[in-house]
Amino acid sequence: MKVIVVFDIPVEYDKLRREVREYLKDFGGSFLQYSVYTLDCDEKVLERIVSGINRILTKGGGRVDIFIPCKKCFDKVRVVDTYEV
Amino acid sequence: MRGGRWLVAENYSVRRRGRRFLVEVGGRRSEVAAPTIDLLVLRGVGEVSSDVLELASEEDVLIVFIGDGFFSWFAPPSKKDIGYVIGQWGARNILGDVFVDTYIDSSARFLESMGFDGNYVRIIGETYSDFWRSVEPRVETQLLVNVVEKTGLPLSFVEETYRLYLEFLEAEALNAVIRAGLSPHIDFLGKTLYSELALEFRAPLVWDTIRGFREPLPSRAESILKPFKSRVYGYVRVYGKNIYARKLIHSRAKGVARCSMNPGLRLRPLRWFR
Repeated sequence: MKVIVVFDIPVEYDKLRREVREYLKDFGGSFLQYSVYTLDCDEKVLERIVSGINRILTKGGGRVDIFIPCKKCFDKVRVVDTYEV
Repeated sequence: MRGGRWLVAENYSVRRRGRRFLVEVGGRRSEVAAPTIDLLVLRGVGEVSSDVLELASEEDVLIVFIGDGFFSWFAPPSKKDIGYVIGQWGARNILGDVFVDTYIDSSARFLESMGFDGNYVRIIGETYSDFWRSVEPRVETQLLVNVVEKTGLPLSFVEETYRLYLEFLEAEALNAVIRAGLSPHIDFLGKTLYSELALEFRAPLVWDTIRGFREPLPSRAESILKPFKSRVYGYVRVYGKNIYARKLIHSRAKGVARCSMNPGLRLRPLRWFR
């Protein structure tokens, strides 16, 4: 299933923000925007990711929202990108 | 189902970064998240650091090393009961016929799909006593000759592509065998279980992909391998249903495991090209 992870970690916890990014990349996370990553994983792996993020954030602070859109909704995502040529 | 990653390179290096495999080939780097794969196939000459093996063990990833004249692997600890291996030993005289049946039928039908007579292959299959010495070489030679004749592709290209595809198919079959809890070394026909399982998929995956090549032919191994990987990681049609080829390979291995544990069960041959 497709998963979108959005995180908001205060500036004073820069190190934790990097740790969360690296952690998401460990599970195949792709950069979408700063503080937004997408993943393709199953329920089991998602549980692992959630508990891992929890473990990282308890070292400092911050908030992570994990969206699990259905395929139909994910395919409907509209993108406005001025960087694309 | 987790995926697999294939690599063909003259010189590669694989290191660990966190829970990722850091693969470097000719200055290009890519990262592969270990939790997202269950198989890493490395073909060529290269180096792998020991923490890569540690990560593979932690994340249950099979690493297969293929080179000129060698095919070896690093398997994570098995999570299956040893009873499967014991059952496999007991089923040695029973299940080999199923593989041969599928192989002969699929090879014959593949030839017929190209407009050739498949009965020659069927006759070879009926008279087998030593499969790997008397049947397989003759069937494969017939397939090779007919594919070259039909497609007009150079013989050397077809032979090399066939060998390359077979290596990766056997790596996938090995992965399926190990995950089903079976031993790759206990065979049914006199070779290895993964080679024998791969027999069922040679015609529909290997030969059927090769015959799709047209001029201009790719020269780089990665380009040659790409359509085959798409086939193995794509849908195939069996018994009137679409199924992921890779998933089917795993299902067959599990079927062998179940039949090994329960002699009352029968594994039915696959029927391709219907």
